[in-house]
Amino acid sequence: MSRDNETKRRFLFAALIVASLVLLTVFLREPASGTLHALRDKGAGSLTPLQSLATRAVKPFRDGYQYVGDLAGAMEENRDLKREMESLRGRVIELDEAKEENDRLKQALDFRNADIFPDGSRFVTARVIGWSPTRWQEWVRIDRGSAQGVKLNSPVVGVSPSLGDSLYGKGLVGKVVAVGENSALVQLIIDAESSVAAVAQGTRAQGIVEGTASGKLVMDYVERDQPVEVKKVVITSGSGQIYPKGIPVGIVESVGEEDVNIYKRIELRAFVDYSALEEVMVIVIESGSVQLEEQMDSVAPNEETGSGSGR
Amino acid sequence: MGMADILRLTAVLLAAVLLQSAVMSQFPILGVTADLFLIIVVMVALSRGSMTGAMYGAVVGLLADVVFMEPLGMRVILYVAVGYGLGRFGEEFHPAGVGLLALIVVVASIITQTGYGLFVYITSPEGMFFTMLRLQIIPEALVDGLLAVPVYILLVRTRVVPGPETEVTLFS
Repeated sequence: MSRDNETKRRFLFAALIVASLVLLTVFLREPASGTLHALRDKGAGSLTPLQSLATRAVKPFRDGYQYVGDLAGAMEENRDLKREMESLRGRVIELDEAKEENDRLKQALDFRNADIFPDGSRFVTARVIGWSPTRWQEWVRIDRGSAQGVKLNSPVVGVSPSLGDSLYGKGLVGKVVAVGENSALVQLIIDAESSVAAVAQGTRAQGIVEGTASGKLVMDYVERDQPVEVKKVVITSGSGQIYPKGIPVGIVESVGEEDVNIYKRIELRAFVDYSALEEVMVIVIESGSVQLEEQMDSVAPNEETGSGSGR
Repeated sequence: MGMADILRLTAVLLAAVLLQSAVMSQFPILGVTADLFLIIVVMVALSRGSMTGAMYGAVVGLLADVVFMEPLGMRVILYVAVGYGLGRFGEEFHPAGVGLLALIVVVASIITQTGYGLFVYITSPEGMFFTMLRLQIIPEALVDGLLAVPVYILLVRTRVVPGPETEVTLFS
């Protein structure tokens, strides 16, 4: 190899590295509405029809693939679920009683029917057409965007009509962190940068539900003297800017305490199987809603503001 | 490099974009998705040298950033480094044999993902590198290595990379 050639190669390598560093720096420093962000989003958006088509085309194969994978853990899960079902049967009777009482009280107080979601909320059903390529981030791409009314930071919940009235599959999925014309990116609540203000039913202990690198949900910042029981449902508290109060997040799976930590460590089992998301519902909250404004007034700092707009 | 070569490399890149964005993400193995972009950069760099490897890495990296919705330039840096480094390695040692190439892909995948992990570590509030080593980096390196075998055979068949002079062996 000639000396000239060698110099040329090194120069090219250095030039490409410098150029990419400049590109990265400019991208990270510009706002989410900047030119480079727009170019990237447009480029990714142009793949939406293709991804949408491919998702439909490969669905039978994906289902088959998932079925085979699920079979492995099905036996053990079946045993656990039977045991759990027995205990839940008893709880259902109790809850039916409680629900009737609750309904009566609500009527008495003249609560609005859709009290979870602010007045004027619209629901946009979307199909999941893409998944994050690595577990460093947890997001999905959906086939609805600004053209269908989807907005930045819109909350997203699961849709599983086949499961009847059960909460499973219908919990909180995440929030919209980037919007294209016909597609949007949804940051899942299992993303390590996601945080959701939440409350545990029963004792009403408040905390922040965060994603972890292992894909589990953890409820943090719950004081050690606050009692939290296993199998209680955790819902959004509405004390952040994004999620309305009352959306189911998960069930308390374990409650731990460490000597070095002033807070409890509470692990949750989510209502949604994030690896098998197919359809979701975006809640578009129109500005000017009375409930939303009430919630905005009680915003707690650093809650539900996890980054993602840069993506 | 002639026009036919450029066309072949472009066709491979477009096929990779289609497969990665529309198909690969739907079939995770060991909980991770294979990185087809990295595999083709490795194959092209090893067979065509550091100059082509670095330039191809830049183009593939830019498209990967768009497809993966990542900050523009991040994968460009990683793939340029992999393309150049493995191009130099290929020029010096001329590695051959499917097994050896798969092993090189595994190592390249670990290096690339470690670089990616460092970037996330610097820019994210949460340090989760060691958890990701177990959940993401090692599984994806293995999956990338496995996928490298059919990809290599396909690239040889379509004459994107030159085939082995003798019969294909596991390790030359």
